[in-house]
Amino acid sequence: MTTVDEPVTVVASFGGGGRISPLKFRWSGRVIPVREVTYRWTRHVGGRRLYCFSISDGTTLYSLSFDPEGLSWRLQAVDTGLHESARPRAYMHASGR
Amino acid sequence: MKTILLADMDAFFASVEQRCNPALRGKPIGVTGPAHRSVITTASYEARRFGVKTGMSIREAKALCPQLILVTGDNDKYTHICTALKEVYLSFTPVVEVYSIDEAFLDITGSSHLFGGPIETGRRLKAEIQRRFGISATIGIGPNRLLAKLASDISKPDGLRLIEASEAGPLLKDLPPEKLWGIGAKTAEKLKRLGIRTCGELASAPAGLLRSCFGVMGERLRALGMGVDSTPLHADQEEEGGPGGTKSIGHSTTLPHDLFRRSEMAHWILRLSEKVGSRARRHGLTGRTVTLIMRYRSFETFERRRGLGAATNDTHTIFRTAMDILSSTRLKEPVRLLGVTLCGIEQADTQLALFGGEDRRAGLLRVMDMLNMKYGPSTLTWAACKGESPHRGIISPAWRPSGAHRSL
Repeated sequence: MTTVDEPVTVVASFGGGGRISPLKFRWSGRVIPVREVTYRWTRHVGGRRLYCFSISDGTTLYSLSFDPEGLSWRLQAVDTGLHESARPRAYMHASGR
Repeated sequence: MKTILLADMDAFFASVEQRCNPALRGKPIGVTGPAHRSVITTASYEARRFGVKTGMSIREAKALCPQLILVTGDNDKYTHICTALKEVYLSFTPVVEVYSIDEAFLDITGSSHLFGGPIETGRRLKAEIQRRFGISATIGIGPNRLLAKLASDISKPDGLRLIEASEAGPLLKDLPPEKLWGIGAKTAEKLKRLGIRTCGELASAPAGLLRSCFGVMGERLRALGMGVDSTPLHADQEEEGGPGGTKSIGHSTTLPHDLFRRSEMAHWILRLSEKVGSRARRHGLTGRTVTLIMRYRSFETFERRRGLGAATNDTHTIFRTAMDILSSTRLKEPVRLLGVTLCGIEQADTQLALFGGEDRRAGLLRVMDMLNMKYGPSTLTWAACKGESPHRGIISPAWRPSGAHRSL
């Protein structure tokens, strides 16, 4: 993964039970659709809790984080090593309901 | 008769990384620390087929499996999942001991009938872990922790096995003692010298002989050979708020490059001492012994310990003691790993100091801890640590979701 750590604009749905799902985001002038959320987890920076998502647009893996305190999203890292043969189909989610 | 279930995640860190990144699935991967000098923390089952094992250096692992993909571990993912796993366990029984980041014992004696018996409980738990986290777990069930662990060990990966108490004798009869949880290589070697090569032989060995060789442990070894283990589960709620099972608090780090000069090691030791001290303070604990762990370039690892006059959780006392140990150690080779551990853990004494000096220091540490808790680790740190890039190692397998940890 290559570290990016840049603010990004994200369209996301906030579902029942506090489930957040990023749907698409804008980065470097491009709109990137979220095909699959491959994993979700939380991390703490001091007293703040960030919601982290590993997502794929089918060819590239991205790591996004959402800070509920500042209502801001950041693109944390990018990995272009997502091979064609390993494109995501149906992934499990880290906190399924 | 108790029914104990062990849930053991298969190649935990590697499975999580493969689940996160579809490109890694089905491929040999090795999870390492961030320094790319660290060792293999976990290898995927695809890599294990080439002989790649936990603890191997990257060079050794690459020699066995040139196509091995190295992935830097992400502690946040693992701790998040371990915490969420505990919630799953608690939906099966209230008596849960999270033993390590990827293992937990569940006492299902009183609850398994609600889920259709022990095997069905195990099956449901496996399915729930797979559904929620996309990773596989091996479930071992037995009348005690020892046999639950053995059932898990012989069924990995993705297995489910119940060992009944009546099965223990025939199953253990020809099993080498070192296959049992709690019997290490050194003990097994000693047993061999006594002509004891199987658990069957251990179970029938004269108690006096074992006692004379192993002291009080002799009786326990004999019981283990019979598949008997009366160790109770340390349900996590019993440990919170007190020293409970905490034996030590420690941190270690693989250095970015090998060091030989003690002055260059000092700030790493200070950084580790601060981590140890702040964790002890957070849990209201102190320790009476400081241990310095060093690993040479050749991977020879050793530790030296020193007792303290009074129990402490003060960063500088820990640091000074660790530095005293380092000063009195003749280094044979450059050092690649350093670790600091506080042992002899007890509840912190809140008695006020007579002359005030220690109160000022305690106040300083309290403010530092508060700021670092609020804004993140090392927001306020010691000047000697300034300028060094933060170096976050891979998480200890001993990590658990609550309380201070037993060991590193």
